[in-house]
Amino acid sequence: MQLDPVLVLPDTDVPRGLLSRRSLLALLGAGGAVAAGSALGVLLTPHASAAQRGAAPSTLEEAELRWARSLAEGPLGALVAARSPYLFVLARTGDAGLVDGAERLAQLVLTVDGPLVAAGDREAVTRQLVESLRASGLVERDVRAAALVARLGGAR
Amino acid sequence: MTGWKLLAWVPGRAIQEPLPKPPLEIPDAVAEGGVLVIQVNTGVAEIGLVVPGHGTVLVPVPKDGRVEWRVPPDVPGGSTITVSDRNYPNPAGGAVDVVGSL
Repeated sequence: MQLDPVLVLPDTDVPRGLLSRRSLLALLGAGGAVAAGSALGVLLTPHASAAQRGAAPSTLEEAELRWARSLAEGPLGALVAARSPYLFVLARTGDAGLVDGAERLAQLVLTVDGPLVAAGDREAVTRQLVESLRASGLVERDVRAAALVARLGGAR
Repeated sequence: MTGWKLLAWVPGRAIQEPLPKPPLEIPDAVAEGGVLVIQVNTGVAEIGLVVPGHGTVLVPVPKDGRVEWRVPPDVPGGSTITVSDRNYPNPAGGAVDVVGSL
């Protein structure tokens, strides 16, 4: 038996760029499908997109809520000194846990000889407490907040 | 001498420097329907108010820090507006009485 040498040459009829063009088209198609799927996913999940939109504000609100909660449980003097920012957080977030701090402040202004709050400031602090509790919406849904407003004379 | 402190006393000459500004300069009172002017020195972008009958309101702070905000006409005299600069963890704030007339 005789073996003849065979020379394998590339098929010159097939253009060189064809395969890479096919790959490119496939790649673009896959990328487009991924992008369309992502967009569809975002559109069909309103909660996720709302969370993404509100990311920055919620960070500030989380920070202020964390600050206020720690203040409510901390020294009374610090709570009295920062009462205005504290009451703003109470009014803005409507967090029922912050009623504790409001009760501590109310105890001060309701005590005739209470320390820390000057006699001349008591009326203003009482108004701040009542108005912040009302603005928080807690008076309608939290028994302690409603009772506190009643004790402070919130009906006036 | 208001707003200044004496750093050193040299016979015949006093060296003084201005006291640091408070984070918020808030008036004690504002007239019904008047303009509440608050000077913000903390560089925050907005301040927060608790306005009787209106809940909480966020007011943007201009570059010069001078906030001018018109009190809604239905906020009655005898009520109090609570102010916060929302600058955590060391926020500043105060209370402004709404009065019938200044």
